[in-house]
Amino acid sequence: MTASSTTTLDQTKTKIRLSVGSSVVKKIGQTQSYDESGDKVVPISSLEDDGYYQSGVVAHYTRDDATEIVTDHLTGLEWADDANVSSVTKQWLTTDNYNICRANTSDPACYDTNSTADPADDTATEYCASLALGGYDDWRLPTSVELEGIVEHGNTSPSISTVFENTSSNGYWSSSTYEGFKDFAWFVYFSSGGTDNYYKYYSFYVRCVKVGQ
Amino acid sequence: MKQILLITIGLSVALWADFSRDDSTQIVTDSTTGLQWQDNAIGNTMPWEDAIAYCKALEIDTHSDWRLPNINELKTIIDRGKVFPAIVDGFTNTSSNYYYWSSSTYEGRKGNAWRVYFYSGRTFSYYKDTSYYVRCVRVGQ
Repeated sequence: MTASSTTTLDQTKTKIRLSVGSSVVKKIGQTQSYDESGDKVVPISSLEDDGYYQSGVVAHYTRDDATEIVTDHLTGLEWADDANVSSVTKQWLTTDNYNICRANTSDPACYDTNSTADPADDTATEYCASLALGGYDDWRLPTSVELEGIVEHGNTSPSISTVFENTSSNGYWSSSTYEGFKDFAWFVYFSSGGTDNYYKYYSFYVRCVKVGQ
Repeated sequence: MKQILLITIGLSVALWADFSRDDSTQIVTDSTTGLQWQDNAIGNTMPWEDAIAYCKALEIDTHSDWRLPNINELKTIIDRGKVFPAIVDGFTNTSSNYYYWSSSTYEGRKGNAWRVYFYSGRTFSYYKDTSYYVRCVRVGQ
């Protein structure tokens, strides 16, 4: 066990943080009930939807304006929130690697990981790997579950807490490959708050994440 | 150092999402969220307001406090490491070819509610008068 060194310990720490995070179900932010036609239901008790129950824990974010980092106090994750988050778009794979992947979806080129990625590639993964926001060097692309964990369905365009100052009402890449077609990856659409998958050659916005200290 | 590492690994196992199915009640319990999920038959599709009424009337194993899950709750049983269906291990009755309703209205068009497509793990809102599958939830003790 001890021989398995720092890597194991780091992965374990990450896993603990994420598992604590995944055990917390955040409130949607819906406070009214709406019927099939979209009309407000009065009294609220007559339709026992999410506006009636309002289940979950209230989300808690703070933004450090000096570092431009937002901390999610329920998951322990820290999110980039600099101006580039609402202006820079990146491909998930380079066009060359996408073409290799499309021809053979079991080729390692399908995954923009440490073993296959070229730091010179202009991809979402490399963008996060080289990000130095706040003086930190452990930024990475979030998984689909991490990214949709900051969606706030009580808001639209963008569907995120107002603590975040830089969000485009568009798609943001996650690091998660779609298992059905491995030349697709998952993205979160921050106009509506939905999660979908798309071709890895495409350019979406990028919000990098790190595990807090 | 050795002890700390072992304790850390132990904690990690204990806190990792853990779904267990009681085959007599056909209820799946998630020990990390405390939520209990209906897992008897795949059942019928129905419009959104009927789905809310269906869960409210449901009684399983003397529990009558079922409700339609909100979209954040329903997302906790998605496993995008899998497809057809993209649902966590532990569930035995899931339709791969259609959406499941959540109780959350889409703020951008309030005649829509959020759904999860367990074929892939996609989430998308649609008109509330459309018929989709239903999986009810309750808070375990």
